[in-house]
Amino acid sequence: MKITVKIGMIAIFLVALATGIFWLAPVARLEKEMVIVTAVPTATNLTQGELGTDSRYVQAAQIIALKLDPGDEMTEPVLLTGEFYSARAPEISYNGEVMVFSGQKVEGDIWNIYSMDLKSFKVSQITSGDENCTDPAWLPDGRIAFSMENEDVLAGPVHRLYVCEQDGKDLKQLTFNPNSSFASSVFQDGRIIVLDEQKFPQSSRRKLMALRIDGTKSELFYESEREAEVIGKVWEAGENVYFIEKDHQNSKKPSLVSVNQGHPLSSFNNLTENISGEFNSISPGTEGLLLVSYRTKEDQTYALHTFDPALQELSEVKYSNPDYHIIEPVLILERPVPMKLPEIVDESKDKGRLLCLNADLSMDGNGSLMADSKKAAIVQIFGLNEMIGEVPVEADGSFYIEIDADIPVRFQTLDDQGEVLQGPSSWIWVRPNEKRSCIGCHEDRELSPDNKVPDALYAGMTKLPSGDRTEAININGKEKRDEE
Amino acid sequence: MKNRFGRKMLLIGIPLLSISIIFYAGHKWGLQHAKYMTGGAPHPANCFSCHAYLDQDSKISGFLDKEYISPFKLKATSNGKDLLITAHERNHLIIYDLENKRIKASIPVGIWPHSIALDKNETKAYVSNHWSKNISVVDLSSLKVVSTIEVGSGPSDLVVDQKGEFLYVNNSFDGNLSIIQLSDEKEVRRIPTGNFPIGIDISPNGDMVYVTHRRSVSVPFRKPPITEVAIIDTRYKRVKERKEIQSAHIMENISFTPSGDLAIFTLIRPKNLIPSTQIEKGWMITEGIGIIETGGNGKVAQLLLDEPNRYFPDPYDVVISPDGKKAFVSHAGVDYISVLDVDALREILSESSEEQLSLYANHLGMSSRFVIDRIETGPNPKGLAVSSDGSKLYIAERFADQVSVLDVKSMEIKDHLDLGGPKTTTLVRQGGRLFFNAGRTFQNQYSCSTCHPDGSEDGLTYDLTGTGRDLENTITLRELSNTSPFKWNGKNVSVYMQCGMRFSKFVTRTESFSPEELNAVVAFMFQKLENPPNVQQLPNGSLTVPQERGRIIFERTMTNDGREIPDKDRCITCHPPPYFTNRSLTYVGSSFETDREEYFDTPKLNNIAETAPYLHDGRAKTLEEIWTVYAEKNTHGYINDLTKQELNDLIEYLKSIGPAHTYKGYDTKYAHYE
Repeated sequence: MKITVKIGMIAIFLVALATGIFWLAPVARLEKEMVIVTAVPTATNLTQGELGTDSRYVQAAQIIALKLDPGDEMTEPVLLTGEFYSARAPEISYNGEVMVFSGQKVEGDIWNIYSMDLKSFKVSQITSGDENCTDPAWLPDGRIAFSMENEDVLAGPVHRLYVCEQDGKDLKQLTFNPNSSFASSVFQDGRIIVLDEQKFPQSSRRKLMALRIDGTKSELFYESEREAEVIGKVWEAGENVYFIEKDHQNSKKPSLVSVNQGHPLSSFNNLTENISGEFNSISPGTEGLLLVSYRTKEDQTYALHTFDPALQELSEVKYSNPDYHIIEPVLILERPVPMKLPEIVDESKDKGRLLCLNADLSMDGNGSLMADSKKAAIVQIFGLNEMIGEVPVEADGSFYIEIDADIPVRFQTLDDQGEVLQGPSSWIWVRPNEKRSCIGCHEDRELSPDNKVPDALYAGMTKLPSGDRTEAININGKEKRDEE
Repeated sequence: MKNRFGRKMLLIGIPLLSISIIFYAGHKWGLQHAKYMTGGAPHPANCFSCHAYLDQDSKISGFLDKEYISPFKLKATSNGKDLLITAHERNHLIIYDLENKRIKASIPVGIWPHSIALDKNETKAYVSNHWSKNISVVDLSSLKVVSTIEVGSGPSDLVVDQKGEFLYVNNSFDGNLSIIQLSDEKEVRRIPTGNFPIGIDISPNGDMVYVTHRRSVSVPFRKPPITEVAIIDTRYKRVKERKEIQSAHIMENISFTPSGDLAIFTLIRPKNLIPSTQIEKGWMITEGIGIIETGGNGKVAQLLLDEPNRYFPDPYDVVISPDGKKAFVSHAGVDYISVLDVDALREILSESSEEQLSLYANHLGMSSRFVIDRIETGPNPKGLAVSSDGSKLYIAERFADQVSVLDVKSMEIKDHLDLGGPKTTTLVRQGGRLFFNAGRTFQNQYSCSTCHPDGSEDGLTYDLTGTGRDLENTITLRELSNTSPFKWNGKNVSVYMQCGMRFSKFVTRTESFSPEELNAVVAFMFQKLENPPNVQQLPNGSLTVPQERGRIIFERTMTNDGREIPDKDRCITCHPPPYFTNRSLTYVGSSFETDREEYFDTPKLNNIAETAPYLHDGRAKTLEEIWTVYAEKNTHGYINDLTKQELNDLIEYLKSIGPAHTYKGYDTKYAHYE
């Protein structure tokens, strides 16, 4: 037989052998509609339904993959993060092929963000700084949003939101308040939903903020009217948004609730009022169901269930382990990619603008317009340490300022006698080149603006001092033309 | 042997090499050309996708296009047997047999059939032909057009009184109402109503006809729009009252409740005066309904149908169920129907003060108090009709060529009536769907059509830079072909650039059109957005005597005292037919304190009579003001030697300038004509 034929036959044999080894060997492979969860040892102090600082950096947690339906050749859960000392917060990419998570390679190490190819199981490190990074979320353009622990001079340890490419490059900060912010998910309209908690000057209850992927247009999405706060990730499924909320006043247990995406401030619905026990985390499942982590009693472990929000019914246990809390379930499945919102931030600029249409517009506690409100004459703008400046309020209540970008500011209004009328407000920031507007200081958050030209546009923009704190400069209409 | 092989290689290789070089160079040039034309946005260098559709008279696009049905408005007969449908693209009235689920007849009528009214006995249908200045009278037994009634220009919605004596027809382009005596089908009166009357309904007791309008009355520069509901006394056939609807416009349709206590109409509340710094929280456009209490306190209210994070743009038709409990509103921009609780509307009106109602007009949370359901439909739902027993709602889905049937009890769409249009979707058709859909604005807040209804313009000036400067008067998108560049400063060399990435960054604030979508939208705009016939001309297209005098002035080269007018100061220089633009940036002294530029893109003048206000920022309320207020020093053409009569004649001519295709035979790039 000729040599070439022999070589060819050997090659074919080797290929067949390799193929057989691949297909016949008992290697676990991940498939669509498998569930990935975080398994936390019961010995670890998992605070009741909360993901506070301790819970974000849990000890010895692992990420595993499960197939819920029995009768498959794979009956054992697949350990995905065996090379890590601790790992949690899995998130699946929109094409269902890559998982990101936060992990700690060695005990005591810095927590970083990692990705894992769900076909090859290859792990890549995304972040590698000196600060803990946690709670990654996928952005529609393939980048990753996550929270990095910073030490704020005044607020102490806070988590700020960042984004970066999948290889960790092009790191950008998105939030600048003395708050802790954790990326939850991205709505179909393209905005990131963030779990947000003020830390300075005093702590506030956690609420949900929405902001664009360049850190602009941060606004309140949901805040409880009761003594309750949001826990864990928030997910949009159809027209509704689902999350866990802990009511500190009444039931004091974490419940699964929903709000309508269209009008979240007025559509609260407690889906598990009649279910005793505690919910830890949720995510969308298939066929309209939710994957939930739940336990009947405090002394039990969290287990995996499904929940039907339409019928408000909890399933039997789908998976549990007496030695581990099963939390943070996510489904390996393709998801619709949200809108990729354009970015307007220009890093070459260091200023942004803020226009308020009517600083006098405010509501009382019942949501009614306050009668006989005194008119604001001055608005004071405060940074973290000191007052940055003050500007006059126009007759129609409007004011228009230019301030340093990427610094947190708050506002306070004074009447013509110098008495404080409103404030200080919540912290906000503007990004470089951002033009941001608001209707009022404490207006009804479901109000759209009245259609009129604000007087402040005619009066001109006031440039607030920065750095050396020189006098504020008012730029009237004519001078603006030259300045710009 | 070797020589033959070598020659063969040369014979094959040289051509291949040449083709490769040409292809490579051509491809490279094509990519650069596409990059330039799209403003740098990624776009495949596909010559065909752009150039096949750029010319409005393109033979290629004409070959590729199909004639769709495009159902527009509906009318159900009271016996529940037939559904009448205006097929506005096919220029037909379709009569659909509901019992046997088939098309009974497809009857040719006039150009762009708009709405339908039935006579008292439902033996005749009156079809308004929006571009034909007449009404087709269709005999429902013979299924033929038996007569034609001449009315004003742009007949749109129409209604027959309860006695069957009179037909009331909105003449949208003329701004008046034709009243037709049906016994002899003669017009007995024509009443001025307002700026672009469009919707109409008669009170259940027959005493009043309410007419809504699309466009605002003339308001001072940088003041909110005010659009009217004209109330006509049917006894005296005159306007009894005008209700001013503040900060609203595009009030497309109106319906009375069966008891007659409320008139509900659709409307849009633009935020054109606010700097467009964002789009969140209804910062650009909000949409809703207006309500007029016909008796009692006579309150007028506006309530938004939008939600804080979800918008329902282009509310078009509104119909009320026979029991008066539910109102249905079609949202053409987002493919939904809203179902409203009419009693909840009454409650809001009765318990709310004027101050509260004023607040509610801007409140995005109010809809949760009266919207009881939202139902998804096919693309571009327009006209609605409720069956006489109230069990079904018929929905004209314009870009699906079908009518969907909603079961009112279950609130589910149970059936689709196929109207027989083409089953494939052409690029132009796809573009139409995109143009009329808000899917490419943040949270679906508005569509292209919202500011450009029927491809025209909304008559408003917007602050799109968000700084109070460089204000922009909305321009018409009709007959865009051969009129680049775009934008008031001429910086966008193509519509691709105009509607590309910068547009998504600063106007729609969401993901931009993909290259394929952009191709489709541009193809639609260039092929389908036409100017209607100019109503100012004589029926045969010739000019009136004053218009002809005005044309001479427009084309003059000498002043009244015999001096030569410099070329740059002649009207015809910057505004040559057929598009009446030289497509250049020109200084005309119309730069004001809010402008950073002094040179502006020369606008086209086709059908300019319909597109007030004027100048790049819309501050000239009338054509006359362009010269009498804003160009007193001959900066906008040499005009100062004209008498008032001559200026009037010039303006009459300008108003007579019609669609570009009526000026055929002229050089499309730069025309000179004797």
